Amino acid sequence: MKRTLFVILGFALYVVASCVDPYNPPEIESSANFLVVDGIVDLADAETRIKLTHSQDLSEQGLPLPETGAQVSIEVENGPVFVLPEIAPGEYSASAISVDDGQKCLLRIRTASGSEYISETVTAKFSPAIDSVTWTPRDNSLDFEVTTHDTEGRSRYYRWKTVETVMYHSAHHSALIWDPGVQAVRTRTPDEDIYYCWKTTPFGYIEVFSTNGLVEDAVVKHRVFRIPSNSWKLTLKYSILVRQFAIDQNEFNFWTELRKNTESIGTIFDPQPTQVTGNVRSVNPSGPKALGYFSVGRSVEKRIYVTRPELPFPADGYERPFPSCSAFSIDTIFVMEYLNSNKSALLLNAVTQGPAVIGYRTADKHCIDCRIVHGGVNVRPDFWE
Amino acid sequence: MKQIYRTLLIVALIFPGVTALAQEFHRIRGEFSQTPFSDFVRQVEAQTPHYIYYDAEEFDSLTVTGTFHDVDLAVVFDSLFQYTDYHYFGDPSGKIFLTRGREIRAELPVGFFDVRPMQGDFDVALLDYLHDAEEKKRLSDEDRIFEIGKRTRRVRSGTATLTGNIRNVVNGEPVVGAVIYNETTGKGVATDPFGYYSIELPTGRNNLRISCLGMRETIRQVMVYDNGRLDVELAEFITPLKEVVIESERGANVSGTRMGTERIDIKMMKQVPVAFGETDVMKVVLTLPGVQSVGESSTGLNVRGGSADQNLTLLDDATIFNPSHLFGFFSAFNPDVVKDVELFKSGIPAEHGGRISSVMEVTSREGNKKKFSGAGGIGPITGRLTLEGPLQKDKSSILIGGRSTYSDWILDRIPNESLKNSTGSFYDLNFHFNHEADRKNTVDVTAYYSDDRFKLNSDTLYHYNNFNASARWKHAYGTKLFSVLSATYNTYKFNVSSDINPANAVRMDYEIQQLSGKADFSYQLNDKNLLSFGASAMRYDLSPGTLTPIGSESLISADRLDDEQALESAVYLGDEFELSPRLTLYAGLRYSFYNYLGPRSVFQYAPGQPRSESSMTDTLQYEKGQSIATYHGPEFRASARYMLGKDASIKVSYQRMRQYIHMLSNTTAISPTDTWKLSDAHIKPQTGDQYSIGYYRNFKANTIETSIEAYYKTLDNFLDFRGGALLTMNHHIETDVIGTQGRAYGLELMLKKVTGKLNGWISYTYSRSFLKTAGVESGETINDGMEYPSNYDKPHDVTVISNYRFSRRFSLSLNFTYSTGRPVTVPLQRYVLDGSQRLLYTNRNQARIPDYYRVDFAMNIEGNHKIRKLAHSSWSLSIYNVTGRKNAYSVFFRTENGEIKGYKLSIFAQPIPTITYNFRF
Repeated sequence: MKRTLFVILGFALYVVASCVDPYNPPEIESSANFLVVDGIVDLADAETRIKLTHSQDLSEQGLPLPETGAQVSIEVENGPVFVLPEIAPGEYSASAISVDDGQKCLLRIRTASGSEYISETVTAKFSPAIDSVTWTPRDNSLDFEVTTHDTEGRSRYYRWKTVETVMYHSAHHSALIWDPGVQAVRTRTPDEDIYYCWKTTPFGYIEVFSTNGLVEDAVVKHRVFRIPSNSWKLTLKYSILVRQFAIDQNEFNFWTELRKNTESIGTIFDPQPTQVTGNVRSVNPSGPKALGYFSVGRSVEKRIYVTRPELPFPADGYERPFPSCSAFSIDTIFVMEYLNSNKSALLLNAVTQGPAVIGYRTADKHCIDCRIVHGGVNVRPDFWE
Repeated sequence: MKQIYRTLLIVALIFPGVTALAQEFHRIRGEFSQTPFSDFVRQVEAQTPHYIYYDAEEFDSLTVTGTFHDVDLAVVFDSLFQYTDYHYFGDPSGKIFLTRGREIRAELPVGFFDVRPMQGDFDVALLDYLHDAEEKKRLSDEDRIFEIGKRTRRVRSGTATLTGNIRNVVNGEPVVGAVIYNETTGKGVATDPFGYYSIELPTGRNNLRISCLGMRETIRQVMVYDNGRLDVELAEFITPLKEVVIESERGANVSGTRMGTERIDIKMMKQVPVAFGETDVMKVVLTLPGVQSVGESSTGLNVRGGSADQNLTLLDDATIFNPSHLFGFFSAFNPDVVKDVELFKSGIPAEHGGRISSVMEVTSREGNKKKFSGAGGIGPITGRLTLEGPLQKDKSSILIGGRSTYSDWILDRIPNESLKNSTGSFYDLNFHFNHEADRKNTVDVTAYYSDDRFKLNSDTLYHYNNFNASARWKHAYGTKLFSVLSATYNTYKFNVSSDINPANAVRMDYEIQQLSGKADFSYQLNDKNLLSFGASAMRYDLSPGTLTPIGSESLISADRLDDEQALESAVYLGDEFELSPRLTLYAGLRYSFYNYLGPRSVFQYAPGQPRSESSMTDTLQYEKGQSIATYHGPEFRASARYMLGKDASIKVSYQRMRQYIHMLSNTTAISPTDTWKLSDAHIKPQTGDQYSIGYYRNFKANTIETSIEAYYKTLDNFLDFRGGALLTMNHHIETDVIGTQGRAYGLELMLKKVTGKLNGWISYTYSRSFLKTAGVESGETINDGMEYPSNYDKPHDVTVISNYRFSRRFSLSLNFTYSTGRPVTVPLQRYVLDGSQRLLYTNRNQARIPDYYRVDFAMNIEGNHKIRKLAHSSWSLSIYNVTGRKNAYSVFFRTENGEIKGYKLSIFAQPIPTITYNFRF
């Protein structure tokens, strides 16, 4: 708690007329190029994967260069050595390795050029179960909180990753589709429905907490995510998945510092950025620096849903997920010509007079196809309740 | 009073012409040198048909000097009586009547029989008859010869000491820094902070000129028989807009022995435009050469390459630990209460100590000893009111001032959604009681209290207080020795609490207290030596951190850092001696002692290894009052002034300073939760040495002052912190500190015009400031032990402060500020970890934020100058950052949605217009 309290101190205060503008701070030209070890091993995953890349200059375009042809292995103290073959450039992977809670491991890398890197010895930590993920409405936001505890008091340091899934719909429901093959209007099949979409976004921000200053190893309603109460994401149904890791103190410090350097920055009272490298180093003391972290643990996860009617916010107090849309009707005679010439228009439904179809209502596809507006998919995810 | 003076001037300038119409005057010729007036009259009567009627006693101190070749007698009288209260009147028969105090006029002044209240235009002579008693007294005092000491038939040869107080005639307030200049010998002294002076005079006749900028110069003719006393009351200039006053002592910049010292009085400060319309002591000090800050919202001053915690900020002798309100947008000092501020950048005299870079002394005003009055102002965020008045007329006075925010104007305008729930407020109170028991004893009691609260995002509440109290007793023993005994108490505390989550509801408290006693003596050994000596002791009591759970649901385990206690004492002796009229030296020695006291448990570390939890070997327990660590050392102070003629001088100075208290801060700007830590067994006191040299030259009768000062400075045992260090609630902060050395050098050029319609100054500063990791105790070195620029290393700085007075009621001010952008640490490389882009920072402060440039504008409109009205009011309209330049406060990179984005944060990204209404009654 001590720590979080003072993490809060790194608050942002944008006062009167203050502003934050995009800007490219001056850069330092360097020929430096460090091996980056992305080595957070989650035993809950189906496979164990270590990614080796290289750091880049800030101005450098493109993806980081992978480190190919290296020999990567995880050594378990008094146990086996797991060799991870390269399955894609820079990606070294094997089926899930078996490590017990509390076992000590280290990562060893030998690059194609012969440089050797070794991690500090880490202890595998299995996370205790998440007791609950809850949500609490605030004045201007909806907070998601996690509650967990470790009766044995061995966890102490926690890290969470969150993934959100938003279910939303477009402005107009389209019941019909123009089939260009047969040049005719027909009813959409359920697979072709583009009114409802789901969008899943994993978040990369760093969320850690320590129960070190608490009388028991219990995390009670720790906020892991906050969404503005007027977000379009809350119009229908919203879900977040919380993955929890138990970590050790060094890893906790690593993430905390990395967060200070790269996330909770831009306030009036910013601390000096610090050099954060991680726990992998060159075997040769004068060898090149390596960046990144190696740890072994097993995460647990929990998902919750919240629907609009459950929220105490004003029924229409949110940003529309779609642009303002209007629909208009086209006579049946002109529909073929119109849809062929206007590729961005889609059909909504039929305008009838008695039993006769006299025309069709159409609108722009941005108003109809939910996939376009926010980039979701119209396939309901397997887990969705 | 001011109004009367203006009227009188007109009388002096116009009326001789009017009276001349009454009669033709004859012309005279002759050469006169110190001719007694009666002889002069005899000669005039011999040369012309005029008969001159006058009271010989009233004119006995007047002598006539001058050569007249056929000069109209009216012209002679005009020049003779100019600025005096002598008048002449010639009737048509050739008789000339000379009067003193009252003017003879052939007709009654217009409005003499009019009993209605005076409005609009009226004959100035009437006012002269009705209201001029005080002014007449001033004028007559100038012509009188004051006898000092017991009158003797024969004046013994030798010297005598004249002492006294210089006061403001309106409110009885002491005039600080007024110069008493002996025209006869060409020597001068300045008044001390109590308006007290002591000057060595040769016996016999002396002419003293008493001047102080912002006040009307006056002269006193004294006949010195023996030691004695002379109090002088000075009148203020008619309009407070007349000039920018930066140093009260005109010419003192050249002839004084001090260097690197600036005094700014409140009138001058009020002309500098600021962001929220309220005069801000700290922001004005920031415009001085050699003073910088890391950014616009920071009140931390960086003086000549020193860090913010190396400045001692004193309000009436008591330390202010947090001199800012509302995130630094306001400073702790209520402008209606402040009298002046003095900043010592170098050549710090031996009576000051405790911080290694500078001393900033803010002095509060004494209440008006003549009548009850008040002042106040209303701006967009704050309102303030000050009331003052005599408790016993001319003897004791009281002043009470208060200031408070009345709106969340700032925070309501935050464009950030999540911060709209934030609130901030503050208030402060000042009290000043002054009692002049008799001519030898003066007592001052002052107190200050401030309270700040702000809540961010309806979550975390910050609350801090300053409380200061001081009592001073000034006593004069005879004419050569006087003392100031003072006792001060001050405390600064803050707490941070968060209760949004009952399970983690917590409150952290910090408190520092100081109790100190000081005795300062000043002794005029002879006319060549002025000794100052004294002793001080200060007791520190710190409660460096208490963590308390709030409520029964809270899981927080209570924690408390051991209290800290220490005693800092010092003795000093300084002597200012005049080697020759050209060369004056000052030599001072301050010896400070420091004891860090129990009770406390102290960790021991394996020698030669970096201090860390793993190298801890033992814990020693110390009893209450037991000395844990002792430090002491001499602090040498020396300076010299060599006059290169009447208007130019060269000065050099050296100083060594020691500092036993350190701020724990790893933010660039001072944050409201930065704490102070005492030197202990592991953390050594900071020391600083500074060498400086300066050339000073004044032009046009001291109305234009120029100076060049250069300095070189070294700092030792400055604290930096390891990456990821926890600075609060840390039981062993010594494992996280990095001992740092620093050096700084610079050149400051200043051109100042102190009088005239256009006044102000232009300064250019070139300065560098570097730090370097020293020692291995920390086990971590910054920049691999190489030197790196400090956060406040801004090489070039140009400041122009200008004020143009169109009339007595209307003036415009324009400021320009340019400085090099401060250093910033930028990343070397980026990389991808766990799906997000991250940055690698290596060497500190290798790049700079964009240069800073700002223009401010202010317009001051005074109400009319009628004497009798309910309240005098003024409006000030200011526009801060006229060009709306988006000056960078910081530049940074942030990872957002896995991508790196670069940003520039500007605090005042557009012009900030403010209107403030000020009043006094």
